[in-house]
Amino acid sequence: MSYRIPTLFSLCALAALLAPAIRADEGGATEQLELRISSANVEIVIVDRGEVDGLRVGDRVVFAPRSGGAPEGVVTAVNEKSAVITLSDRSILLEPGTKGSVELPASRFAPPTPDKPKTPAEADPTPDQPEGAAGAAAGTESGEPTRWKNPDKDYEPDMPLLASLRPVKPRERRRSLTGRVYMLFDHTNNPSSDTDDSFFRAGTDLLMENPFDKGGALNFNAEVGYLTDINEDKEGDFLLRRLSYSRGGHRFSDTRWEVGRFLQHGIPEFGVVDGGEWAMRGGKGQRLGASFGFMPEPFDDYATGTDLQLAVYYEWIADLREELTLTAGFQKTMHNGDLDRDLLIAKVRYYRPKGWNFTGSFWIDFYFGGDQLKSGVELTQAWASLSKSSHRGGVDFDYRRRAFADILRTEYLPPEPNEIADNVYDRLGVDAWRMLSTKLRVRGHLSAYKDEEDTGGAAELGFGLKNVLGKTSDFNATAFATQGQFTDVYGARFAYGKSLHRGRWDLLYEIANHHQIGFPPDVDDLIQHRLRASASVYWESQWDLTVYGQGLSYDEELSWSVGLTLQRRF
Amino acid sequence: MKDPARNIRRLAIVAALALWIVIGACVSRRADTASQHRWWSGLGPVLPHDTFPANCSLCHLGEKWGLREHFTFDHAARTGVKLEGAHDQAKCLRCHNDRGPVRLFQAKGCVGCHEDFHNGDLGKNCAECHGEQDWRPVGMIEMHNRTRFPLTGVHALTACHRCHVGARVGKFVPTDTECVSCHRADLAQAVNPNHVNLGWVDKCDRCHMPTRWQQATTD
Repeated sequence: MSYRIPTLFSLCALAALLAPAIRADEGGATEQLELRISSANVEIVIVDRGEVDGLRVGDRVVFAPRSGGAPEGVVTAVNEKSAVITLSDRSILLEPGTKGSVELPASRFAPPTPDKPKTPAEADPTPDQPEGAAGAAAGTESGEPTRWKNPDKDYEPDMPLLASLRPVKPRERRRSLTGRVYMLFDHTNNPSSDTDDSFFRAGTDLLMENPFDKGGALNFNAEVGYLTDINEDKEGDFLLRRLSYSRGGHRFSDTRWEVGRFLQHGIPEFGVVDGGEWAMRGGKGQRLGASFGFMPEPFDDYATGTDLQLAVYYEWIADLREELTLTAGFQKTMHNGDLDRDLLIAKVRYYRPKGWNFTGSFWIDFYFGGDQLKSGVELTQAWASLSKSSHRGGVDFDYRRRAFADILRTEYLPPEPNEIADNVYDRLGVDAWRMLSTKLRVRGHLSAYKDEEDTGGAAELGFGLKNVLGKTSDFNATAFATQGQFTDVYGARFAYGKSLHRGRWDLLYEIANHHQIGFPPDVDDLIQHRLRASASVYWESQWDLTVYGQGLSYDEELSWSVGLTLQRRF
Repeated sequence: MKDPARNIRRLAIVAALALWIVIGACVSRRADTASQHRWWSGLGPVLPHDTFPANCSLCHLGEKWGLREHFTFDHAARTGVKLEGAHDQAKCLRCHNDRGPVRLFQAKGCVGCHEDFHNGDLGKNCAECHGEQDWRPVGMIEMHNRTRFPLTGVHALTACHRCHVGARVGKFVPTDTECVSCHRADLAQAVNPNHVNLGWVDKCDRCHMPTRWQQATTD
């Protein structure tokens, strides 16, 4: 500590001596350049003049704040159209918009000599510099400024129009904390069978940006819960969903990494990991990434330490509009040291703003002979959607597949071996909707499924009215039918809701006949009534409160539930 | 008789729950213009301004270059995209930031901006289940009618996590629809007659109604 202060003084004295000396070398005549502060931070300000205006590193700038005084600063970095000024008095905080001036040697503005040979810097311009180095590189003395002829080398289509203002980079920004806190409560009671069931959960989801002045982000997502089994108390527990630190992945940094507990960023299908992930974005938008760490079991306590995973992925995009992307990722896992899952994830996304869109994810398991129940290659899970929509209507074809992978990891509640081997569920469906007028919307759904022992389907047809039964109201009526595995259902539901200035309330009534397949005719039909009411209030202070109640009547029994959600965003 | 230790645990849990809310209320401030938009003059022009009006004073105050006190932006009128629910109150920089053009993320659907809590298992249309105001899942009983397992009787008013054991961490599929998958404990307790000894370990619906587990029918 003791040697730092003299060293600092020495450097300041050297800078103070060198700056006038550099200016003196450039001749006696000067021109005054006026400038303004475009953005300000502690110790440094950024001004709206740069290299093309004749500014160089070492120039001394005098500001004229409205509050009085004449604070000074020295140019410490120069970009094409902006410059970074380090203030001499670091206790002063200058406002953006503050005027200033700098005396520059007139020789800097003399017309260029026609036969002057190019300097190496002009012949081979310095390429774009990474974060933190751009200003210093641009600020080197390289002869006469080429006023009005410099292209906007740093400009990209997604950058501000005001390119002369250097955007403040993430590491230079103010530390900030955003997120939400929430609480959920639900209680269900079934008086006739004397059972009840409830849960109480409260948690928070926080994002702290730039916590260590490095431009990163700290994420924290956790909750405590108190859940009961039927009529039996269960321990309350703590669930840590996310605690991670990430850096990069924005326009100033093509590389992104994250460490801690988090959902994998590149391919979420690989799940939550306790470890690290690294990814980089190529010049054409393609992405390459890898992750390593333990996979918490997907249950309440996120128990970790038994499943180790290594994953890599590559995403190819057709062009920078990203209308077509193809992604492939491979994940290898180990369970308690034994080789376990070989999973390939393939994803496709084709997006046209006014055309057909296709999105799909496919889980493909490879069984290399060491697995107990399955072998070869299997499409274990999939979803795909082909859709087209506009403001007048839309259609969406949807395919889903579910099967149990033969893995050592505890991923599901343990199904029987024969279920793992045989169970497979495929569903193909279509949803469509159309606006018949500004107030009337019709919609339908049709789907069919096939599993290891049954087939069935579902159908819905309904309409919605907006602002017909009262201002800011909506009314929906739907007829539906289901051919299920154990139950066939047909019925209708009616929903009415009204939006208020800061809230909303809703009512829903449903009546349906639940036909139990295989039961004697005198007991196989159950008429089920359901009534649900909810009210929400959204306060200006960002608190949201929703309370709801629901009653269900069936087979001479009545069950009910009540609950609330309380949340605040900040 | 109540277990004192259990009561202490309950108290601790309730206290912890209350603490979350208090912490939340303390760390959060009343929203003002600056906090809503999360922009301050030192941040510089993060947003591309290429389509903005030439008159900067519509949004900015000249001297400090800050946002006007009552700055508002009609997103629907200006961009053609209406912000629903909580999006309407969201801070501009949550979407418009350094990560790239918003249109690219919008094209990806909800997961373009929101982390896919369900690990990609449930498709892209989050709005089928979640409300845009508080992200609370709504309409699960209705959605179940589109599956092979419509919720009948008490199933309709059972907490999701009772059957989907990974619900709290977003894991809902695959879930086995066989009764015993959820009612394994009931099977173990069925001793009169002893179901396991008799080999009655599946096809529960041969005797039991889905409304009351106690009610069994016989031919």
